[in-house]
Formats: sequence, structure tokens, C-alpha cells
Amino acid sequence: MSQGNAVKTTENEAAGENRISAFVKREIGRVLALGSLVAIFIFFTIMRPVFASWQNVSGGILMSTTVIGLLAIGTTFVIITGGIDLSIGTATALVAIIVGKTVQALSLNVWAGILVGLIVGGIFGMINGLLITMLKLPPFIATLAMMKAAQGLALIISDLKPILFTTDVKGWDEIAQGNIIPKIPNGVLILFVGAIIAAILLNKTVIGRYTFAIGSNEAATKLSGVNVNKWLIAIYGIGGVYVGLAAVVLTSRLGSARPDLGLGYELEAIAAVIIGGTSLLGGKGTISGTVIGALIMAVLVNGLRILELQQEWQYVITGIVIVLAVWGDNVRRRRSGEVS
Amino acid sequence: MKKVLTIVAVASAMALVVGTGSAVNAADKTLKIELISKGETHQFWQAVKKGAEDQAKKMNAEIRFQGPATETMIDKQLEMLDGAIALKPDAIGYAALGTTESLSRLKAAHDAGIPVYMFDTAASCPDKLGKNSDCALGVAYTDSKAAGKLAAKKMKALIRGKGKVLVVGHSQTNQTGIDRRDGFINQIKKYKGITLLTTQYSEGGDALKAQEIVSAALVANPDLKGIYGTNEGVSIGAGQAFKAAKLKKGKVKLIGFDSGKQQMQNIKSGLQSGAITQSPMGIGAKTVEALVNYVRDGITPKPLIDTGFYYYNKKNINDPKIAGNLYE
Repeated sequence: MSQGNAVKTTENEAAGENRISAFVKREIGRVLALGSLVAIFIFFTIMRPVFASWQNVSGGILMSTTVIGLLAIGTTFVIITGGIDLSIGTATALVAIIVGKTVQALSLNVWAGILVGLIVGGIFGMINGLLITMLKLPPFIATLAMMKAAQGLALIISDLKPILFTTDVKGWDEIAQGNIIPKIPNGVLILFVGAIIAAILLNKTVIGRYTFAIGSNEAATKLSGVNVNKWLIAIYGIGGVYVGLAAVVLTSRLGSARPDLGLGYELEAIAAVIIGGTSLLGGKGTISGTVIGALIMAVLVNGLRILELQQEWQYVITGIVIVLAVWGDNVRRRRSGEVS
Repeated sequence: MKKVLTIVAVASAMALVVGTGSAVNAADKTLKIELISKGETHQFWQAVKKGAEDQAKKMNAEIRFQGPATETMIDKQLEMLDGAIALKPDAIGYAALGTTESLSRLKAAHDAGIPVYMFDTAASCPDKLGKNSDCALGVAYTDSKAAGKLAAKKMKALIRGKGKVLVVGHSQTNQTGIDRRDGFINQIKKYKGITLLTTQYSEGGDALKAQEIVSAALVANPDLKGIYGTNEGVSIGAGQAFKAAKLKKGKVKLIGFDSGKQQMQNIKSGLQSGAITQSPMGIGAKTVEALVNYVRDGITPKPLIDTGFYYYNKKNINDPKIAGNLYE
């Protein structure tokens, strides 16, 4: 999860102390984010100890992170390139509907159904990439158009009805709600395995390197002979695969595919990415930060519900925490920029 | 004499022909009615549409039914209303999303001489509904407050008048949502043994958010006795939260709203106690009937037409009176 250069500098420094301070310096963004996550968690635990019960942590907080968290992980790649994907929310509904219809029509089993979700999601993401690279549309506009199109298609394909396909497929409920590992819902497992795979892709593979390169300086990357368009399409495709995964988890959690959800999920996911320290300007970002960002949002929303605060105030406080989280990160960056 | 009779006969026959002829002409003119609904997604609106279509066919009218993708899109719906007025149809049916925002549009329709009858939800018209209102002739609706009240009575019986009850609303701003909530709350407050928790909302009836709200509520209140969800999406979400928490069926009573395949299954399986159903087809049919009678025959419709509601559970779900209003 670390960038190559930083690792080398650390290795060159023999003294353990230096190593620790270098680590802290490099990781301070995530350390702070993790710190605020822990602080918020402790606050709610003091207010209502039942908040920290495993039933709430697993079924309430972690489970609530699954859909938005997967969307956020996928879209981290896109945001690091300096792009944005507004279509991920409604695309989740569209993919869910397509999976439901396909599974029903072809009597697919669980695994085939999941595969359909990943493929359809991936294709959808690649269409975003094509619009951005081939038609040279700004990502904001291209994905806004796709957001609308996905919403419409979800309504058309579903014939405006929720699709109740999960009871016909053995094991579909288990995708999110089963327990391969006792006490941990599978949906949560999917979230973390998805995060680990994404982190490997981002930090250890060529696609990850180009993700950062395009975000840091697209023109320079192009000049150095990289086929930026090809990689962008692939990167939006990765975002789409995670949309597919989120859609599958969503249908398992709800027991059906519903065409009327998803709108607004994209903003929650993007907020999680930014809270996690990824820059909207591109070039910087981590998967672990995104997961922490998504967890901060989930902990906050769940905690406010556990406190049984009036909904109006829940919204206001959520807004304030987003501002504080991102502002604090900005201040830190500016300071560390001045120092170095 | 014979001649006279013949003339009379011929004349009356001619009059009859002319008479029926003109009557045929009047009835022949297919009335064009634009119906602007609050949504299209929920099957409820599909049932309203079906009721309107069936009635239109019977009365030689033609309807066009449209609504925004979700019930939070007030602007989108107002655009549709503007578009409908611009088409100058014979009449407009309107289910108000923007209860105040739509008033200027309704006045514009009135000024253009297009009669408007509202359905499901009325706009907050300043004057009395009727022929002289520049808002609308009236509204065909489910008395949502009374429906909420019925849900409260059923809830009281289910939990034997004791314990904590949570209301999960689907909107804080839409009038139907407010009435379903208030009808329930006002009634449940009369029962001394019942404690009402802070009402939570899953805006737009998002089933996933509703699930998360109910999951948190089950943790915060292990002694929770009942949940009342104000629409189909909320009811589904609550049921799924019960499943995820591996709750014993019937431990927490759940009363929902409307129908849909999944909710009906949940009621049959005992995961959910029951639900209130409106008569969506009746809403559509009564609206079209009122408008056609007014335009064609000048019969002023009643300003308020209550289209009714029922409580259903595992026992009466197949009752013909109930089943006709349920949709998968």
C-alpha cells in the first residue's frame, strides 16, 4: 500500500526511530483518519455502550458499510486519475436489475449470478471510460449522463417492479448474510477481500502505477508513450466491477433487486473516498484510507441512529463531520507542505 | 291522418337519428386526459394507472400517465405538469409532490380552462376545492390519517397495549407520508402503555436505508415491540433487518403499507404482521370518472372522494375485497 520511493527511503535509514518517524510522516493522513474513526467510535460507546456490541458492530456498522464501501473502493481508482464517476449509484440499481432478470431467465446458480454482476458492472464502467476517452467528454458530464441512463434503464428493464429472484436461487441470501467465518457476515468479508484486491491492484500492478501517473500528470504520461485512453477505460472498468459487486451484495441484503434505489449513493461513496484522504484533484489516494472513510460515515450514521437523535439533526451533524474531516486533512497537508 | 302520422313518425325518426347522432358525436370525441403521478416505480402507481386506463376505456377517454422516477423529484414533476398544461388536454389529473410549488401551475391550468382533479395527494390549495377554485375541482384520495389511525389500533392489539413502538417514515415533506405518520402517532399516544420512539425516516422509501435504521433500532432497543413503516420500501427494509438480526418471527410486530410481492410473502410467512392497503385502482378510476363526467356532461364532482383502505394480514390476504387491491 506504500509507494515505492517512500519504502526505499525508509529502508535506507538504519535507525529504527527514523523509520518510525518516517512511517508516521508518510502515513499521518491515514493515522489521523483512523484516529478520528476511533474517537467517534469511543464517543458513541460512552454515550450508549450497546453501540459497541458485536451485534451492532457487525450487523449495524460493518454491514451498512458494504454497499457504499465497495462503491467507494472502486471509485477511488477513478478519483486518483483526477476523474469522477457519478453513475455508480444508479448503476448499482441497474446491475442489480440485470442480474435479477438474467438469473431468473436462465435459472443461474449463485456463482454464475455473481459473475453476471461483475461482468455487467465492468462493461458499464468501460462505457464510461469510452465516453470520456473517445468522445472526449469531461468525466463529470459523461458519468452524469450514464447516471441518468442507468436510472432509466433500471426502470425500463424491471418494468418498474422489484424483482424477487433471490428466493429461487439457493444460497443468494448467504452472499451477504451467511457466515463462512462464524460471527462475521459474508458481506463484510467481501468488503475486506475486495479492499485487499484493490490495494494490490493499486500498489503492486502496472494499472495502479498508471492510475497514479495519469492523476499526477496526464499530459506527461501520454508523452512518455503510455496509451492513456486504454488505461482509463480499464480503470473505469475496475470501478464498474466494484459496482457489480456492490449490486450483488445489495440484492442479497434486500432479498430483491429494486429499481428505485441507488440515487445519492455515489455522493456517499465519493465523500468516503475524500474523507479517506484521496485528493479530488487526482494523483493521491489509498484504498485503506477509503475503507476508513467509509467506516467513519457508517459509524457516524449508525451512532446517531443509536442515540435516537432526530433525523434532521442527524443530517446536520453528518454534514459538519464531513467538513471537519476533510478540512482537518487539508490543514495537515498544507502544514506538512510548508515544513518539507 | 295517416299522412300526418307518417310525417310525425318520419320526423321523430329523423330527430332520433339526429339526436342519437349528436350524442354519438359527443361521446365519440375521445377525451384526452393527462395524468401526472408522484412516481412510476412503485407498483402502487402502476395499479393507479391500471385503474385509470380501465375506466378511461369504459368512458371513451384516452389517458397519458407519467411521473418522476422517485418521489423526491419535485422539480421533475413540476416540469411534467408544465408540459401537460402546454399540451392543452381536455383535463388533467395531478398527484401533488410539491404541495405548494405546484399552486402557480394549477392556477395556470385553471386560467387556460383545463379542469384539474387531483389524486392521491392534494396540493395545499388556499381556497376551497370545487368549480370556482383556481386550484382544482377536488381530490380522490385515501384518507391517510384515518389509515394511519387504523394501523395504530391494529398495533395496539398486536402488542397488547404495552411496549416500545418505532415509526419509520418514508418522507418528512410529502403530505401522504406526513398523514400516515400523524394518524398513527396521534392515535398511539392515546394508549398509556405504549412508548413511542423518535420517528426515523428513510427518505424516498429506500429499502436499504430502512433496513439500516431498523437494525440500529433493534440494537438500541432490545425490548422493541412494534414497528410501523409508512410505505412498501420501508416495510421490506424492516423485514430484511429482522432476517439479518435472526429475530424470532413475530418477536417484533411489523405493520407496513401497500403490498408488492415481497411484502405479501413476508406477511404470509409471518415475518411481518400485516399491512394497510389503499385502493390504488379505485384512485385511478375515480379520478378519470370525475374528470370525464365533468368535461362531457358538466357534472361537478365531489371535492373529496375517499377511495378507501383496508388492513390485511395472513388471514384475510386472499379475501376478494382485499386481494383486488393488492398487487405483486
